[in-house]
Amino acid sequence: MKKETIIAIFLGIAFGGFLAFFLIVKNKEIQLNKNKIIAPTGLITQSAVKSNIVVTPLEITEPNDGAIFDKNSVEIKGKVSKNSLIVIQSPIKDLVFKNEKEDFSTDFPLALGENVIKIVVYPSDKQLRSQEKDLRIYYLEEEL
Amino acid sequence: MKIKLLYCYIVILLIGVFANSAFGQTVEENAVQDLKEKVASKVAEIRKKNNKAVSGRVINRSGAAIKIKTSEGDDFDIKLQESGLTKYYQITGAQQKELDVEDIEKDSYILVTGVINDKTITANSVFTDQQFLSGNGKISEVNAEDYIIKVITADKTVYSLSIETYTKQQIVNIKTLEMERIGFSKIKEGDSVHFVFKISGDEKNNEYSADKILVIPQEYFIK
Repeated sequence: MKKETIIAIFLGIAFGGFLAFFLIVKNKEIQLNKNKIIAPTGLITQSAVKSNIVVTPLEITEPNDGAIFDKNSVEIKGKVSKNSLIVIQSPIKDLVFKNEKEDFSTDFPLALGENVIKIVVYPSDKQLRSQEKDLRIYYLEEEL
Repeated sequence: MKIKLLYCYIVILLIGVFANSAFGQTVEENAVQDLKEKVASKVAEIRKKNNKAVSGRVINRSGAAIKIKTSEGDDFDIKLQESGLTKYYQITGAQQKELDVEDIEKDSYILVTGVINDKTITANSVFTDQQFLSGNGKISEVNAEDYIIKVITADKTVYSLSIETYTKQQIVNIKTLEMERIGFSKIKEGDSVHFVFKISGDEKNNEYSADKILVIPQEYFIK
């Protein structure tokens, strides 16, 4: 066999191998792009972990539900995730604010008699559901 | 001379005895008064500690007993004390005036304070009051012809709220978080809403007239 023929066969095999390798890699990429990912990606998992860490359930530490007061205002104290939008509503007052710290506290007026107060919190992560608590407290002028 | 000295001694002794007796009496009286005040203050403290409140609508009224149903659906028996021990009042706005026991009628909304033992309350005071409900949810329907909005809450209850001329309508400015007055045309399906209404007990199909609404626009949640 001539020397040129051997070189040509060798180059042919090398080029064929290279082309085959290129086609296999490209095909694999195309298949991966077509398939739907079932398992969570790293980014989503990270975000979920982050959300789990950040969320603090709404807790009202003061006043207790059913409490009786002899003055026309009360300090509402509670705990919830930072930077949440807090809405406190009663028949005589509406209050909307964001909490810079987890603990929050605000003065709230009371009407004579029963006060039905709704406290709703919208977390800063807007994908998360709102949380709510009801308070039924009483401002009464009675002689004990 | 000796006799004079003896008289003087007796007189001084008698003055001392009287002064001591009078002073002793005052000290004793003060001690008794202090004790009385302490007892009264302790009794008031214990009564205050045991004094709880429950509210509900009167479902049965007979003699010295009342039965109420709370908004959570629990029944409580109220024992009315005789000889003026239970006081009755009516709350109207910021005023309260005394009532007679006969003024507490069936279907009235009352607040009762007293000592609670399981589902029985020995009443110290009974107040008639207006029942309110505060809630929140998402606006699922806006009826611009009849000025009615339908609101679905987190527990899937649907309220039909009529917006009246007296209804205070506000919206939260999503940039400043200030509350601003709005008209009905600004209310959109999909907005979150907080509401307050009165309950008279005669309503049907969860239809109420709103006292006030506070809208949080849906744009706040897609910011």
